[in-house]
Amino acid sequence: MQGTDSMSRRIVAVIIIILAMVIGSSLYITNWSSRLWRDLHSAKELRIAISTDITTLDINYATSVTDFEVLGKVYESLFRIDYDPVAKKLTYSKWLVEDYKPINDTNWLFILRSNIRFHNGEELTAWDVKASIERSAAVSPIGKMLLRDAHGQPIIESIIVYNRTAFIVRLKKPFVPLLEHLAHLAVAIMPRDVAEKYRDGRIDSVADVVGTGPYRLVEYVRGQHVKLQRFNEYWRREPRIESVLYMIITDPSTRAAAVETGQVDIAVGIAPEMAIRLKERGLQIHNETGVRFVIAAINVQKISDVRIRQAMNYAVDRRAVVYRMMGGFAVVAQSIVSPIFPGHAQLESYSYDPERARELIEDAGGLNRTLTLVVSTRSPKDVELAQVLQSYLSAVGIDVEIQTMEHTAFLKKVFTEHDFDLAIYGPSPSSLYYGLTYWRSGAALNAPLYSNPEVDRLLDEAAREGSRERQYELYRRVQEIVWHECPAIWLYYENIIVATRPGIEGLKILPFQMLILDGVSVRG
Amino acid sequence: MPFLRAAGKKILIYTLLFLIIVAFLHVSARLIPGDPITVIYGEIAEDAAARYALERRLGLDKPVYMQLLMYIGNILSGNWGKSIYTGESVISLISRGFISSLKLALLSTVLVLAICSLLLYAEFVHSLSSRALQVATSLLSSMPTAMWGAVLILLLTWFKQPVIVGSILPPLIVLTIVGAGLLYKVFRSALEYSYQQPFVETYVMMGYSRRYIFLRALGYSVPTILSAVMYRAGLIIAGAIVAETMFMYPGMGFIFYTALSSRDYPVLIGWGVAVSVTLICINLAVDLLHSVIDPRVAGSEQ
Amino acid sequence: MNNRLASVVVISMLVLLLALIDRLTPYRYDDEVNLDERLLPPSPKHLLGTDSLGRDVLTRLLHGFRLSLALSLLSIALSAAVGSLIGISSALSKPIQIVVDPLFSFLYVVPSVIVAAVIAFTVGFGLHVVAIAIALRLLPVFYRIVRTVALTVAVQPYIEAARAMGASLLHIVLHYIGREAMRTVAVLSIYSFPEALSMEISLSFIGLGVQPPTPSIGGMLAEGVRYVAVAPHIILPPAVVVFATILVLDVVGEEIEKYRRERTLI
Repeated sequence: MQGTDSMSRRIVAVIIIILAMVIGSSLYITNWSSRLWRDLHSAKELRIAISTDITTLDINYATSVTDFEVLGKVYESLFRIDYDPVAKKLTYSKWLVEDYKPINDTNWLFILRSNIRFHNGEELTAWDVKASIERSAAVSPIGKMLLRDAHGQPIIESIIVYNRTAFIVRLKKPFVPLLEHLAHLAVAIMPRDVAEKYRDGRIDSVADVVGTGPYRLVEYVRGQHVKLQRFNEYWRREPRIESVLYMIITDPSTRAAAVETGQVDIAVGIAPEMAIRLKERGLQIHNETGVRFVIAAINVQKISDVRIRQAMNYAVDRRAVVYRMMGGFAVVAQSIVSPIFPGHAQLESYSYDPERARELIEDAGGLNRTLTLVVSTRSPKDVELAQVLQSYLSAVGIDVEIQTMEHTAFLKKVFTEHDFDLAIYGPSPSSLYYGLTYWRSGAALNAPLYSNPEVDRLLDEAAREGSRERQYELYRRVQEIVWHECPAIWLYYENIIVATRPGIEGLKILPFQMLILDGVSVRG
Repeated sequence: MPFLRAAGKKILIYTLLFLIIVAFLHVSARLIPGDPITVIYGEIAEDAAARYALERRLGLDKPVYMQLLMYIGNILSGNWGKSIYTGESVISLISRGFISSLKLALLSTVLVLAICSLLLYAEFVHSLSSRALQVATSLLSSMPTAMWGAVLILLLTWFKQPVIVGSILPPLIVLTIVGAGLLYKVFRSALEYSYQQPFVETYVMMGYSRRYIFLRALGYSVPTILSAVMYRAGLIIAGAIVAETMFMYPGMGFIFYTALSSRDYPVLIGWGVAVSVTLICINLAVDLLHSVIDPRVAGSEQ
Repeated sequence: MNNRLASVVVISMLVLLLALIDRLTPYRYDDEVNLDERLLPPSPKHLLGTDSLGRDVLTRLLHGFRLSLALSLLSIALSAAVGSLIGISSALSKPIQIVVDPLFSFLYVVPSVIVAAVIAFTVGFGLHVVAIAIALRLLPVFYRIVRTVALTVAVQPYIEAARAMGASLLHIVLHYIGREAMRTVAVLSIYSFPEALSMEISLSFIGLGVQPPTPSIGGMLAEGVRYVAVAPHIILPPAVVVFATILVLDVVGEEIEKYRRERTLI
């Protein structure tokens, strides 16, 4: 009987323990959720849902849209890429510089605005600018593209500082798109001591993220959120929002649900189908033409016959893709760069003409092998697009096999090994010249290995050309040549879709998926 | 003493296993195509100088066995390295993730235990239809975590409730639903086995109440139930990737997936070390628990 | 008896249906994209409507179901074979057991999605990765059970008798242990089916599953979740199919076990 007693005692003990655990955990949950509700309602901050984490705290190492969206509130460049909503064109305006003047072909004089302060209280000087530009040209992946020529030589010979606000940029040879390239945030201005402290390494401490922008970075929790605080001594008018919380929500439906239920105020990267539904539910949808140009690059080395490449362009019904698959949230490609760049040439779009495609293929002697179409699984839309292309191409007799890959492996295969027939991706350049250099022989972004000496020559000439009109004419010829030689199936420019909850007003969107928060006000 | 000797042997084997796993992780991390340089440069061809600098920084230019020895030495002395991207120390990153995952695992385990015991109580004491319960629970577990996550999001938007991103609640709900479905079967068969034991018949003949008999039978199946539950807790600690990434819960699965996609080797290997230690501890604990609670096992080992 | 008859009928009908898919539907499952007919609700032309690329949902569902079933079967067979082999060897040889036991207990507790992610990132995506990932998930289970069976059989008096009569080890393994193990493996295989199916779905949700345009149940569910707000008709058919499959398997598993019990009583 004693055994039974100890047994039942043990059972009672187990029950008591389980009960205690259940009560404890439910108390924990209720306490925690009430805290959460308090947080939600007392919030004075603007909450923005972004689709990916930032990849770095160092603006010079930034490459993704999200990096520039977040760090772009902290840092500023000498010039700013702005958007003229009437002309629907990008403009490049003076920002940290008060004035500039070309002295001759290779020497540019810049005068900084006075009374601009960094977040650490120090005043912005020409020395800071010199150190920042030098660091960007040395370490930044994008800065290297912007500030070096086709042969990897720096375009800037030296920066000569005259006094606190005046400096001269001396170029090795004439380079007209200089101002546009200095406007990129990869050439952001940071204090000289920070730039020198991290000459080789990467900025990895929040305390050293110091810029001149409207917001200071105060907290970064990896994979969770980035918190920005208003910088009270900002040189332009005060930004209205006191603090901004970027919440990282990778799952698209969770992100849409978060803005719909009011947990966040703004959500970026909304899928077209979702945008339509959110609009029906009374949310505001901002829809702007972007710079991301979605293409299916054709490996020129493997498919060398231009007729086959043109046939592929005639085989695809772009209008159906844009208006059906993308729900109208895109623009049919009419050149090799987005129409919002000044200098964009409106070319004749390839019509949907399967008959012509078949003829061209026949002329070229047919294509007797199955092509590989490589696509990254990062974006579900790209994977859908791959299936659409496969179907269109098979209709004109080109067999395509889709190979899906994880994003990093995809980058390696396409941009380093060039091991593909077709590859779907979307270059997003910051200036027309930069967008055109993608197609220069041996350029780092030239995945299809396209090469045309004429294009290279025209680009070199355009970089030297002082007259805007003549420069645009050169740009136009480059666009025409590449457009007709088809190193890619030209598809569409993706729109930027941002959803905001009712009560958020004054949001401005720049085609770099940059939310301009200066005029934002929150009601309700 | 034989008990101690058996435990000693197990610990020795698991230590060896741990070393093998660390070595394996170290070598295999480099087999995955693409590396941090590819990630940083993105749609731009990479730069040989940058690659060389990174390899130097990570010590990848030394022979593999040297790297391995140095790494094991570093782990033991508490120096797990830094994330390549944000510079945060791996130890703080992993311990943050570990605590989040531990919380999730404990809470969900407790809830699953409570739900399953209640269901079984209803079935065995109050003769609720076992068929209906079985169907319901197998439906619960037939749909994977991701599906329940999607259903949860739909319901929340339907009722205009905030999705509370980054909090423990949504992944907890999802994991509890699936866990209850999965473990109910295990619990039930363990309990059925207990009911077949002769002592139950004795109690029935002695006229004890059904509730008393249920509790006794439940007590008898505690070892089986506990080990099943502990294994599931181990799985959650190692990383419930789907539930965590869906709701941005910063647990181990989330850390693993971000580190894997960005090829953040120090974090990746740190994760492997933390998880293998945890899983080995859980394995040991289950073994020990069996020999302590369950007199049959203890008896057979002597 | 009724249940048993019903299981047999249901399963044979299913096999027949899946064998005849290509005759039954006028559509192809992969490259028949039609952007003008996206997300159409069910109609006489498309009995279950069309998906996000205008393909017939019913056609894709049948093909996807067949593929998912085949994939599950293949991986179960793979892990059953490998698991039995290692299980029996480990039961008979102490050194093997010392090496293999901790490895498998480790594999058992590492989340299978993680294993799958590592494999897929390394060798690329595809059917083989899904099959291997599912097989690795089930392997430790088969290993453990077969090993337990082999250990219990090995100490039976009749084995010792056989051994005393000079039967070779191979003979004992094939005739006594193997036969006993096969029975357990058969039942376990049925019970592993839901797990294999659910694993395929999980992999699809994080993008590691069967790759497009090939349809699978998991892939269709994942797509359905993406479009559930706009076109709920895409997600329902695969969800219903999964529920139904799990229920049928439950009944079939129980019948098989009952049948086995009856046999052993005789």
